[in-house]
Amino acid sequence: MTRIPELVCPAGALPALKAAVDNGADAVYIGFRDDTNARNFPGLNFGPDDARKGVEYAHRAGKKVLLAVNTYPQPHNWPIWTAAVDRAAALGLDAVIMADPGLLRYAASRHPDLRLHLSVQASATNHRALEFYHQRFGIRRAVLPRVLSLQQLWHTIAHSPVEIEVFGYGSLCVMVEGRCALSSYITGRSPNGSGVCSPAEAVRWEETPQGRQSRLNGVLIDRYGPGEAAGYPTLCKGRYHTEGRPYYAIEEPTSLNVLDILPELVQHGVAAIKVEGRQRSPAYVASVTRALRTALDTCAADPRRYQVREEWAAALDRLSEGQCHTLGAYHRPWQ
Amino acid sequence: MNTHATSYPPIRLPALPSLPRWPLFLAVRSIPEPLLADAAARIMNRLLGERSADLAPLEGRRLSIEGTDVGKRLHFLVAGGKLRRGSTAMTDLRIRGTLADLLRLGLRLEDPDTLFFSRRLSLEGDTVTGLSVKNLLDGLDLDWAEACQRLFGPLAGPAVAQGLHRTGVAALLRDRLERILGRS
Repeated sequence: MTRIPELVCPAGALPALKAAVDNGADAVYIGFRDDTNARNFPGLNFGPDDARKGVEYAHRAGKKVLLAVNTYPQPHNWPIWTAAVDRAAALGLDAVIMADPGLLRYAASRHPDLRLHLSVQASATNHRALEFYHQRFGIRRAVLPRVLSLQQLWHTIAHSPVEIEVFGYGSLCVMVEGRCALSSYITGRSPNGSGVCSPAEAVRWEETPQGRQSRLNGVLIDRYGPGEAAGYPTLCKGRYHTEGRPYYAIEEPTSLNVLDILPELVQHGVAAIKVEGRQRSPAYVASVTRALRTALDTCAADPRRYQVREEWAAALDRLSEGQCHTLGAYHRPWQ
Repeated sequence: MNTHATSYPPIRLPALPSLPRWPLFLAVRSIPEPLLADAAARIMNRLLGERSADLAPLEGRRLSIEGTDVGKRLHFLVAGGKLRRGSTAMTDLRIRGTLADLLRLGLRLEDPDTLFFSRRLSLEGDTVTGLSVKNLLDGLDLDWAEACQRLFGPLAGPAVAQGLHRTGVAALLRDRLERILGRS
């Protein structure tokens, strides 16, 4: 019998965690309220009390809670990262999602029972890299960056010593996911070090007669005409004058959505499907979780007769960045 | 004990037409801005309850919220760990939208990013303040179990909460609100 992938949903706070659990997530991933995770936004994430309540809530419902400690510590702030790992073990979290090899080693030696997942931030894209992390640190699962085509994904799964988790829905990243330092060009900070592409203090939204403008550290990133959908103010999703016209020269604001290829993901043995968006609201988490839960259950019941229902696609598109979706790198047959 | 772990079938609600929203609009239009701001601040402080520490990063910040279709602009100030009515002087953050969309935002019926991306909501000023406000709203844990425990005590509280959950009263309330505001 084919195993149905685990549905892994995001939570930036307790209400979103509850929304994920109530709407059918198998696991919820969270972050602590500091720069040890890649969604370090003001007022977001879990303090110690909320983390404890979240774990209790999920475990009573028989669901898991995973913790992202997936940024890279520097020598001067190393103890903050190891403290996060220690807290994860003490709270009884079901796994910690990490990228830094030093930190992985710390967790593996200090907390041998703690389950380790390799974060997308580690940017491991082939089975030999996964073998290394598995041998050295005993990782049990890896989250693959959204840069592989389906053929590359099948090959990696077939040879991987660990479970494979892939992104199923949410805003997309540029092609060097996990190694991106593009935003540091303007802000001096990058997701790997500070847990944020566009630090809020560097972002400025302006409503002008020409439309809505977004600026990052004073640099104009984009201007949206009246009624035109806006996107996140990240450097990679701005429109720049390229060959004389403003254009999404790096990345378009759109969302990944794997509803169309769900049976193939199941058939090839994907262990878990991840939803992006710890920065989003409980309303987003509830809608996306519900749609994907229904789709996965439908697929499980009869993969051959599986068809994407219009209401799932509509529910997901409405919440998408750019309000449209793509299969991203999954459908790049030339890769 | 936990009241959410078991899921109960949701109540099937009859498909009724939208409820009229003019009484709500009339009320908001006819109440003076300072009174509306006072009432909103009081509700927010009550909801925050023990979590008032979450307001700390906003200390000293001035916000304005403008209902573009009802011609109202409310001013707030965070001072002494509480949200208070503010003056009409400068603001750090200006939030604008229709009354229905502002209520959807405040009642968490709609995802704020979706409202913002689809241009139904505008946020101008200090982005740190904007994100803090958004995440404060998203983080408010309106917990039936805890509220019932406070109201009915540790013995009866959990039973009442479970009963409420079983009846799907939250879903019912949400449906009514959505019908007043109109589904987006």
